[in-house]
Amino acid sequence: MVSNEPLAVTCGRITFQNPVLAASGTFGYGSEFERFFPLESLGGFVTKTLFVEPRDGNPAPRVAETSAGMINSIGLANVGWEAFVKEKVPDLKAIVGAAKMLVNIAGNAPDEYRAIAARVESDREGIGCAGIEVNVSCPNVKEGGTNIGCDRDQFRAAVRGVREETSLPVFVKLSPNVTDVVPFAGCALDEGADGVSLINTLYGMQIDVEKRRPVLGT
Amino acid sequence: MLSTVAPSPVAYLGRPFSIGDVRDGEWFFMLRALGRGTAWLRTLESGTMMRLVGPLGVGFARDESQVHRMIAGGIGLAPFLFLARRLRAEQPQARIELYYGERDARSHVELTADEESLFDILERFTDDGSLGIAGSVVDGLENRWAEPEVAWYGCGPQPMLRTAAAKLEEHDVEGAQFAFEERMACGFGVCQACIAPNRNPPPRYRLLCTQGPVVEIGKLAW
Repeated sequence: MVSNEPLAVTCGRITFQNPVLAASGTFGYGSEFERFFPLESLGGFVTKTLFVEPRDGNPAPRVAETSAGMINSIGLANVGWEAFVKEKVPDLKAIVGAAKMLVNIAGNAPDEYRAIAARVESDREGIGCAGIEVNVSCPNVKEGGTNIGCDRDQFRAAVRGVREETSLPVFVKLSPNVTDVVPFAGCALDEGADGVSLINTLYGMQIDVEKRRPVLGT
Repeated sequence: MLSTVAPSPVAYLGRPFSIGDVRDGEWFFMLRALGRGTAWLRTLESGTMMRLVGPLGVGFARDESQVHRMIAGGIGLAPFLFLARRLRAEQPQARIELYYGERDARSHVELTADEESLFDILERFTDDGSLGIAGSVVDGLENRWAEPEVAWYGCGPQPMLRTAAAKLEEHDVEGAQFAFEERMACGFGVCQACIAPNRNPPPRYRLLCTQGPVVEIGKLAW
């Protein structure tokens, strides 16, 4: 058996058996890929974004192919924390092996980030969670839909709330939809994050010129 | 999901297809160039290496019935040759019917004698009357919605399916299965793109790749 050790990498307080991580939003809850390759061969993976409560997500169409790839507007559809723990984690634990799971979390307002972080903290042993990635690219429904990841005060409040609720390693996934990401990275570290990850979804729009409206449903 | 192994300059994502038919261990797909992806696929030469992820999702349940009645609109014909072939093998006594509509004669898919022999009844419809019966499939079935012992299957444009579903529900027909089409990026539940609204939420939506594309019509909000 070939040892994976030569490929091990340490990122903050987490050591991954190799430097391959599947990014949040591209990898579902993880178990969807079981039939394609063994999850245990990864260094780690980040779950899709989880809220305390389930979310339906946006109406169709949710994806559009572009000449450079695709744009999407899923609307952070997810099963909610409780269903994740009860319905997804048991399958994951059976197949994850030494790959590390990070959970990606978000809320509709800074105080909801605190609430979901508290849930992760209380379930961390049971689910085998190695760390948290914070998705700050969410509209604040209590503040007219401003993007939390693009507003420094709300950004700080969200990260601070997570940091105060958990001792797990915390990484903040930065939004690219700002003039300069560097100050936001600094804010994340100021508020106690272990690191940052780059980047969340770029805003985009595709127009159906025949129908004279956007291709995506939102 | 079908895509090319070599990166395509035109179609970045794979395209979802019904398995059109399976004969002697070979799979067939029915392809109509409706958008840039399918137009691109049609230009490929024989022998081009393809990437195929599948079969995926939920297909037609094939419960026993005296009559299996399929209604197809346009490229919605795609799943029915294989379905009919399976039903023919599993339920040789059953009557298998296909009602297939297109805009005009030019659009109609020509079936081989072997394919036509899968159906006890095969009626063709065209909107302009240039082939078969003039008018829509749904109009053509006017008196047959309430017949007993019929298992219904449908695939085609959304307006046609919606009208057919309304007719079936009007006549209290339960268990009709329709195959739906939606844009997909992955085909196995990760991208969450291919949603259809559930009649009885929660959850509000189902994924057509893993909880479809075949869905009993009573489970959807039309």
